[in-house]
Amino acid sequence: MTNFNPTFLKRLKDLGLSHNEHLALRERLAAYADLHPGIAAPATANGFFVFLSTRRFATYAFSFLLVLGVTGGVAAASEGSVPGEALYSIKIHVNEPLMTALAATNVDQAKVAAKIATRRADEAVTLASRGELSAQNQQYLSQEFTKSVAKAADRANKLAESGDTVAAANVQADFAANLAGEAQALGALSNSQTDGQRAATEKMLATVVSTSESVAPDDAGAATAVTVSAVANEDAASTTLTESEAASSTGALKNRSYFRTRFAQHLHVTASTTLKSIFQSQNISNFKTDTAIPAQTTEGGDQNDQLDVRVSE
Amino acid sequence: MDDDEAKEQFLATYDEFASDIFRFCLLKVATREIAQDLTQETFMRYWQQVREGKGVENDRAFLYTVARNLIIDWYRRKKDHSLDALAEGGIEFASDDHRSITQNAEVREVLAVIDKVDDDAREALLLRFVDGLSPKEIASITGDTANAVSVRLNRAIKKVQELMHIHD
Repeated sequence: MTNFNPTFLKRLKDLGLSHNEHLALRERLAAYADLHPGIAAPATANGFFVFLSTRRFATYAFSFLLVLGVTGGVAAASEGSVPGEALYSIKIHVNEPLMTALAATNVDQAKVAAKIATRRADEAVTLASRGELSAQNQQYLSQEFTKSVAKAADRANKLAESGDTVAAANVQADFAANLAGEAQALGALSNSQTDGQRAATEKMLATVVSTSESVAPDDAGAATAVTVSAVANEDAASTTLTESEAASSTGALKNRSYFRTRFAQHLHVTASTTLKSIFQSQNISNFKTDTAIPAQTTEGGDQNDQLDVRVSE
Repeated sequence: MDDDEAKEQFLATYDEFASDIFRFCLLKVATREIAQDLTQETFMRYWQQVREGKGVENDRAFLYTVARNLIIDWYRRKKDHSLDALAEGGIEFASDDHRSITQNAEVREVLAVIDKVDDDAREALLLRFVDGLSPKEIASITGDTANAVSVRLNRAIKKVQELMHIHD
């Protein structure tokens, strides 16, 4: 083979980040690192820090705090904390691992996983309501929310595969309803925010909707396997996966489709063209409902900007 | 190593490899904003490894592997018509630092040539001759054997040489 001169390929080195882009991204990553303190050396694996994330540590930490007599107040106070607050680290690194560690049954574990996922969305709602949902917080919460939803879906699927498909369906139904509530809250908040705040809120909303949507597979066959028989109304409790359907489900596919259907049914959002574009970009426009969506005008908008979300029956 | 040292080392790794990872992403997703998002996500995951105390034997290979997997996930989420649109639009590589017209033209020329080789071959060429990875390192990223990468590189080089004769 003749010698190959790669000089011309090296011109592609010009396609890097610009100076400003490099600095801006560096700043975001530095903020992310501050929000997620790490103390392990990059080059060596340190088992102690792996231990910090285990269930055993969570139990020891709780016991230690009990001895100090500070657990009740600190743990309780940390429950309401959000990213950027001093007690948030306790909420994430002590309370939640402890919740997981103390979940004895498969059902409890599925419920806890779903609860933790919902908390991330709820924290975004809290921050957005205070006008404090920064781009960094939104990116962090979006990422953690996506991971948590995947874990929750995994727990629910394991529960279904263990044979308790009805319990799995119930956990997913509650999860879907809670997430829809968070999505509605984000949607409502975004309508009342200034442009600067709205961008972060809408990104978080898009994450909640698209991640919740992605819990179900892209398999159209699985989606049609679930029969939703009740009439769509404000209380979707009457819409259930029947025992025979649950029992006949192949793997977890039908349960995931059930989640998606329940999520969409619970999602009664008030008007926003931005939400409409988010839904359309996520291919959620195929959902249809005959429940009337109240019209709402946003400042500067008009009543033609109505979101028409419908759920199929 | 304490928090500050870990963070300092993390940012030093970022300074060293950010542009390479960004370029790797850009040449696959064609849009600066998406390439930046993927780059950010890649380094966030790298930080997760660092803070959890999980050893990273080869920082560069790890970053490329994560970026590659994120790109694969991104492709899966995109619909076919979006990929076509990207292909039609060409790579959006203009940035905010006012590169010379000549520099942009040279980049376009290179892209026109390597665009004609298949995806795997192009990836190997770029990793080898632009980013300086060895066939073994490339193999660890793509999941192939070093031998397969070497063969792929040889074929890609021949193809590029043929194309360049045509351009001449």
